[in-house]
Order: sequence, then structure tokens, then C-alpha cells
Amino acid sequence: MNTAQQTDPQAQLRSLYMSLLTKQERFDEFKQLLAMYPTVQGEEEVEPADAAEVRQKLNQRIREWTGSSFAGLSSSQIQMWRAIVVDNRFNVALSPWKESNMY
Amino acid sequence: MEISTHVDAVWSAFCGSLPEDLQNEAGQLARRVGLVPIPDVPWSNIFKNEVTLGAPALLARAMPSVSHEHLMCSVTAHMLAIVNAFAIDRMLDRQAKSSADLSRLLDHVRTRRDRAMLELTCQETSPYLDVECSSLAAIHTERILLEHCRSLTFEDYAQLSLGKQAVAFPASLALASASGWDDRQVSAVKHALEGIVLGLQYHDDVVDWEDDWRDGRAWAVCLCRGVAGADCVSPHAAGHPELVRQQVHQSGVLVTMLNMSRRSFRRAAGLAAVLGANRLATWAREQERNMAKLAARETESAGYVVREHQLFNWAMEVLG
Repeated sequence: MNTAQQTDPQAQLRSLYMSLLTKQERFDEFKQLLAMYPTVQGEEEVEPADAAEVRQKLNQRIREWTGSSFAGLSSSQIQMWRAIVVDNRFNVALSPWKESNMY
Repeated sequence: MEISTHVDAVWSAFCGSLPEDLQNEAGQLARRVGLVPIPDVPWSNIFKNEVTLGAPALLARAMPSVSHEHLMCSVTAHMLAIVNAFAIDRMLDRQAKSSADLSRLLDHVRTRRDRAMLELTCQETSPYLDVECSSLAAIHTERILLEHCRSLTFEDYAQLSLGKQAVAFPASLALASASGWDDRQVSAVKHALEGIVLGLQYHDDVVDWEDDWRDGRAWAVCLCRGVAGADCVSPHAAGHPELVRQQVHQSGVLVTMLNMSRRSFRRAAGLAAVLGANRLATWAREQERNMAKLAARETESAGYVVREHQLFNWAMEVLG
């Protein structure tokens, strides 16, 4: 029997977020796997085998952490996550610098 | 008038008064000192709260006899003092590169700040000359202590943190006096603002402690040594961030710092309410609640606050 968290993508992401917030080792591994994913790939290029392996590992770990049937990140999604979390690039429309300029 | 409108109006008027060759430099200042990653962000959209640049305007809402001229002088002096302090701090920290144009611009910032202050106080000397010296002395002392990874107490921490923030008070205190508030009320303004700047500072030092340690200067590490003994977190452990993190987490100093922040905001909220500065009181009370929540989460799961901060942009993008 599937619970909402097991099937709802937003609920799965919220569960992942809470899991990363509460466990340092998961947060470190999450960042490390994102950092291992190659940054630049042409849109037409096939995902290299080692990159696919990292992606599969991250997807598997997310399933374990959230206890859900997480569908898995695509290559473009994982690159976006990497850009935000590892390379600290973000959507300027959200004014995220305010979070750093607390006073 | 909204606080953001005050702040942007002050900066716009200041830029308009500059020599033409400095106006572009002024427009780029926030980016030059690393406060924003893109150009042309209005100052009202740079900080997370409106208190940092607009404290006098928030307090003025509780001053029935304040004049518009006094208010604008006070906001001008305060905002330019804070902008100057950030720029200097970033340059000392080597986060911003000094240049002849930037130095000239900051000379203009200080001159306009002092002129606004003298108009407000009708004195011959700007109080910023003294407080700027004491603030710089505190910044240098802090730098030396943290770079040498000394064992420090929470009393050291509170004292130096307050010293660094000395430029945050004169404009609001002068406005309170100019609007006819008595000594007790002026003193309450000072203590309310102290609570706010310390509350913000303590929280910031928790959120950024790992980055600060990578730069070789973190209060959390020195306080950890003060609590757990000088053997804890050797300065030579710089190459072992996981060991340092583990010791800082185990020492509980991050929770203590968050509770110091919570208490500072509580003190500020109480005093602001007594003064009738309701918007300020409401904001400070909200910060107090936030700090209580963060302290509880940090207690349950050490490192929570740093991780939450590091995941903020990702969570905004992915979770909305």
C-alpha cells in the first residue's frame, strides 16, 4: 500500500529536505555525490557512464533516506541541484542573498 | 512612508550629491563589497530585515513630536554609517578590493553622514568619529584573538560583539534626544538597539561559523576552546574540518550562542514595546521565537542551523 509520501513527488522532496537537515552524514554525502556529478555537458551528449553511475547512486540513496519510491533525478535536474548546492549559483529573481545578509 | 522608501530615498539623494565620476561607483557599491551578486539592487532589497538600515525610522514611529527634517537627517546618518561600516569591514576581511575610487566614495559617505549628524544634534563634532575608532579597535582585537584561536569566554564574545557594532546607535539616540525623549527613554533606545544588533550578530556567527573557520577565524571554535579546554580544537586542526565540527557540536556552544541571540531579541522586544515602537517590538519578538525554534532544533540535531542555511537556496528552488 502506497502512502502519500511514497508517491507524491513534493512530499518526497520535503522528506529529503528534512532528512538532510537532521543528519549531518546524509547532508555530507548528498553534497559529495552532487559534487561528483560532471558540470558541463552538451544538450545532445549522452550522459557518460561514470556520471550515470553517480546519478543512480544518488537516486538510490534518496530512496533509502526518504523511504519512498522516488522516481529519480534526470541528468538536467541533478545538474541544476549541483549548481545550487555545490557551486552556489541560484535564481537571482528570488533575492537569495538576503538570507546571507541577515543584518 | 515605508522604511524601504526612506532608505532608497536617502541613497538616491546621496548619489545625486556626488561628483559625476563617482556616481557609477556608488551605484555598484553593494556589489563591490560583496553584499549582492548582481548590480543595481536597491539598498532596501539587500538586507533580510528593515532594521539594519532603517532603525531610526522604525523608532520614529513612537516619537509623536519628531520632525520630518530630523527624521531624514537621522536615517541619512544611520544608513551611511552602516554602509561605510560594511564596506570597511569587507575590505579589512579582503572580501572587497580597495581602490582609489572606492576610497573617495567612502570619504563622501562619511562626510555626508557626519553632516547629517551635526544637523540633527547641532553639535560641533560628530559622535561617529569616536565610535568609528572604538568599532575598528574591537574589529582588530577580535581578528587577532580569533586568528590565534584563543580560548575565549561568552563575556569576551558579548563585549567584542557590542564594540564592533558601536556605529549602529548614534543616529537613533540623537533622534530620540532631538524629539524630546528623556534620558530614560534614550537609554531604553540604546539597550533595545544593543539587543537587536547582538541578536543578529550571534545568529550570524552560528550560521557562518564553518565558513569563518575556513577563513581562519570563528567565534564558535574559540568559544569551544573556552568551554571544553584549550586541548579541544587545536589550531593545528585546520586541515581536519570534520574533527573541528564534531568538537564544536559536542561542546554545545552553537546552542548557547542561539540562546544568547534569543535573549537579546527578547530584551529588545520588551524595551521597544515599552517605548511604543510596536513594529520594531513585533519584529524582535518574531526573531526571539525563531531563535528559540532554532536552538531547539540545534539541540536535537547538532549542525542543523548551518545545514538549513546551506540548503536555503536549494529548498527555495525545489520546494518553493
